[in-house]
Amino acid sequence: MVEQNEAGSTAVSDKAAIVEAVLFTMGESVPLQKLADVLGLHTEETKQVMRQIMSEYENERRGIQIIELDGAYQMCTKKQMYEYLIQIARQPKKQVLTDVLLETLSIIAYKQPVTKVEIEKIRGVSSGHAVNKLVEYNLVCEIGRLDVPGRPLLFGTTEEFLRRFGVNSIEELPKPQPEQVEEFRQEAEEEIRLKV
Amino acid sequence: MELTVKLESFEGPLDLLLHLLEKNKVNIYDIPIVEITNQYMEYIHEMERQDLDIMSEFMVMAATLIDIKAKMLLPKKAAEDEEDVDPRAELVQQLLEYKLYKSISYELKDRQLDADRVMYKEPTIPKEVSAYVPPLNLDELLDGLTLKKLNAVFETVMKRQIDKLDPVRSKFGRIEKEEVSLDEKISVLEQYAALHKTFSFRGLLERQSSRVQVIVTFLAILELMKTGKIEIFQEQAFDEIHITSRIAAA
Repeated sequence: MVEQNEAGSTAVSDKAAIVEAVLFTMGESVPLQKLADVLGLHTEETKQVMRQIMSEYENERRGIQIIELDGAYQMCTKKQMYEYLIQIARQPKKQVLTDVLLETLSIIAYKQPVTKVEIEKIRGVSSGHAVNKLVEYNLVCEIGRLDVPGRPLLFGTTEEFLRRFGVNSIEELPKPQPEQVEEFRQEAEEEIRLKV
Repeated sequence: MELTVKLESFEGPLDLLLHLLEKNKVNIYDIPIVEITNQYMEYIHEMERQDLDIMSEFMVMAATLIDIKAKMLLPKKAAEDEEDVDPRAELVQQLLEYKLYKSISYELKDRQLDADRVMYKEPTIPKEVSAYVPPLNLDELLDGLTLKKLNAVFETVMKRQIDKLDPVRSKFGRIEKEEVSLDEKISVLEQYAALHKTFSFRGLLERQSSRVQVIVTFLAILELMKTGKIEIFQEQAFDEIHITSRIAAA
């Protein structure tokens, strides 16, 4: 890190160095609060530090980046490095998700918290097996129960889901709703016009 | 409309319906119910699915389609206050929603391929650090614990134990199964007597393995005496008692 002359920035650089060392050692994601504790700062100040270090990694020509996953931070390589890395590091074969699992996962991701019954209503088939598989892959998990007779389980996505699909948080999932429906409507209008 | 020879496998009725709509280049807001239902039924007949759960879902959809078809064939009721509800409306809604999530899933699939190019690291914590357990601070651990508190906890635990105990059922004694049944003993003794003609009462009782057995044997002797199968003979009081069998050996 380049040493700054202003005292404030130096302090930040030092803090950034600590964060760098922590994220490297921990490997796994580290929650904001833990980083704040280590740095002896409030979470707001820690967020500032994180913003700085994240943009530095992004802008400078580094092979590593720092990502945020729903309020936790993790170090990982940049996508462009992949072709070099596979020459050295053998990546374990990740399970391929079938269309069924992807569909079920999409529903859970966008409608969470959601029950199995609600999922089945959309898909038109029973989804117990698919949901269980997704839980097994640690892509979804139980996040409580719905307060109605029967108290059915509610499901939502996990941090692993965010990692596997390159999303920083659920809010950042691409929002197809209005656009897609609009598209369909336009298609339909087109066809009606053609018929006339 | 010809059916392709290669039958694709569909995850569910909605999946099949969407496929049919696309193949027929149908406007989802104006489904030709008759044609689509016919094609759907053809597919169902050709399906080699054994899974009863999934097949039943397809059946439900078939019934729904036929129901809609029927509704559309009937003349519409001329009711002014009733809104003109298209019987296909609910199905269209369901299809739209399903189509939406299907397209989302394709997007997610792409994202997954992209995100797979990122590598992560395992933790590099030295063993001593991860195995480190902070030393036990007794003062901290027992802070605020007085004898009075400990006693209160003890009382609570004991009360819980007592509450668990069913006051009526726990007083029941044990019912033990008899070691030897009287009838068994009688028949055993009968055979023994028939075989040995004469034997000593004391000797017989001494041979028994437990007190219960002694008692049962005694009762058996009495019974056999009553039925006249054996005879008892004693020369003098407190002398040896001899038992003689009155039945011949089989």
